[in-house]
Amino acid sequence: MNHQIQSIAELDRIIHEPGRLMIVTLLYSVDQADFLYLQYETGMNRGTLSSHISRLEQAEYVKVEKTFRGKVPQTLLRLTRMGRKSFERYRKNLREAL
Amino acid sequence: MEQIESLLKRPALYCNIDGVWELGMGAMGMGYFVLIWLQTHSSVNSIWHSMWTLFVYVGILSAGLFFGTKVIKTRITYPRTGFVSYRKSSAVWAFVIAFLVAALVALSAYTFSKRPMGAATPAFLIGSLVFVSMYVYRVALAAPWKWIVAFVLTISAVIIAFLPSSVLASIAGHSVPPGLDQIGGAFLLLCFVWSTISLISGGISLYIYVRNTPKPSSETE
Repeated sequence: MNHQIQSIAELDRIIHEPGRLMIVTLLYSVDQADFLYLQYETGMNRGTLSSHISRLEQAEYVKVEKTFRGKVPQTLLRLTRMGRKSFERYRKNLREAL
Repeated sequence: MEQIESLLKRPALYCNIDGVWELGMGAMGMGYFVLIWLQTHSSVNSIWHSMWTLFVYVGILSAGLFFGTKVIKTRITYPRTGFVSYRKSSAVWAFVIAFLVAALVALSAYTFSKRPMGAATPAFLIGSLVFVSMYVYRVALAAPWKWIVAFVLTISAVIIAFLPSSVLASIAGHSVPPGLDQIGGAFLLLCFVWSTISLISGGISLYIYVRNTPKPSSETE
């Protein structure tokens, strides 16, 4: 199989979905960020964002921590080591495919 | 691919979304300007030349900056657009850049002390342009109107660099050694002008941010 086509076939489908790609890309540059920040940057509604985060959590790409900021609940998110590696591989494959 | 690269830069630009980075830089610059001004325009025996005064002043200034920016972030920014903590590697780079800038400033100061202002003007301008480049990378890429601020910073550095030596020497004050009076005056004036611009620009950013970004109606999630 052509190397370029092979790269497309190897793209991580969990990350490749546009909503999840935005989340993973934003989390890649930071140590951790909260739900509100992701909502602000991606423009997604709560339900959609929650469902994408659940999918990423299931794949063990994102670690979710529920905490409080004062009396307000806060959901902190960070990429796991596996999530970080997967995103790096995804970028490499995408670059090769393009 | 370009969209991914652009999205990767978003969290770094988020740091100054509320103008706090500029307000912090402006307040720090103004704090040091006031301290140096008091030192250079007071007698050698005054309290402003005491090492203890320096420690207390810098301690209060640092604490004020730390808690002041923290209060704005926790009371205004985080409830509106969310919380971000940055990776340690970015912090290390910030220290490396700060060290390089400090080294450049020290080198410029040394050059100025050895030569008259006219001959050292290029070093002064290069140092200023390095700072403006940092400003563009850190701030101006996030908001197009900040390019005007970057332009004003550059123009003010050029004007200061070509001010008459007598004007710069008079700004430096009487406590500055003769060889350092022109460089002292140039840096002091630049510190004041840039701090003022930074405070104004940061204040406008904070105003725009608060006006355009209402708090979400219910809890965070």
